[in-house]
Amino acid sequence: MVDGLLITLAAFAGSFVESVEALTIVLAVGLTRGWRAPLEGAVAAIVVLALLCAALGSLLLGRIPERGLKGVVGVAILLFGARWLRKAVLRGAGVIPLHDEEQEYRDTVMALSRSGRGPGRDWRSFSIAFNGTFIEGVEVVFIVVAVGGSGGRLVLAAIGGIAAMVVVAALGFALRHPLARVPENLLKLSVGVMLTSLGTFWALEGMGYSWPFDAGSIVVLAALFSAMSAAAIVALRRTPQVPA
Amino acid sequence: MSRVTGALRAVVKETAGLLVDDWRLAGGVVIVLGVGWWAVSRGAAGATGYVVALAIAVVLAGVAIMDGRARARADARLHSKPGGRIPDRDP
Repeated sequence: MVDGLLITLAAFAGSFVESVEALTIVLAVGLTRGWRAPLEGAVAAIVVLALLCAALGSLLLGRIPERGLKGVVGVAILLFGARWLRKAVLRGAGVIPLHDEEQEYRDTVMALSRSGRGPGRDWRSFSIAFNGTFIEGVEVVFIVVAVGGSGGRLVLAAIGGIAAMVVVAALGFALRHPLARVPENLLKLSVGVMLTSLGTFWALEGMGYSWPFDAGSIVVLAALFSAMSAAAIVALRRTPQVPA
Repeated sequence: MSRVTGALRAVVKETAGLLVDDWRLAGGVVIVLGVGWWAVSRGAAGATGYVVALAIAVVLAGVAIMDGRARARADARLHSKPGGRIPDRDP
């Protein structure tokens, strides 16, 4: 129950953050050069990502012994989550800049407005939308397959990932503006904590360790990683800064 | 053949990049897991998992703090040079 909820939440939040970044690119292309080519590019990328997800999912499920799968995937999720968490801590402490969707949008619009458009299909718009959606989506596929595959809950993870994409697409369609007010770093911090907790849980289970409270231990791990991340942010904020 | 090798190399590099972008962090986590594995294989039970998790959290926080302080020192060095430019930084 607890791990099922965490799996869905991790897939939803991870997919939400990456979908917001992809939406910014598609919106910038669509509002600057027309909608047909970028929408086709984004849909093509989503189809390729779905095929990738299905192929990787079927490769993992049923073909590799459960314990070995948990060990390998657990370590992979742990490394992936720790990478997200480290960056979120640095952003939270103000050491590296927060991701700015408005700036990303303006940069893409400026780059597009400098290049001319020839007759026929707008391949430049198609490829920018395809690349943007595909690159952001690869991390979503990794999260969905890793958290869903090793816990045998691929459907739950896929539902979480797809639901986030639908919500972001609907918001983008309604607002016609980048979702700059989404608390992106908080979401990334949460996804980092969830992935690191799930990864630690599965990695140790894969080694043959039995957690004292079974899946309930994931909540304890999440509390531990949240507390340590908060402590790191506080410690970094106290580091003397360069005067402006 | 070289194209296929190049494409495969790119895929491996991209995948590795998803997992590792700081060798101190990845190395620290793998070492802690290795010690955990050694302990579990020798029959360790009870709170061993939480001790391993705590060690991973300490590695994570330590690497982030070291990284942040190194960036602050680099900023300070840039600031002290004549004409040195301070990179943009959000508060």
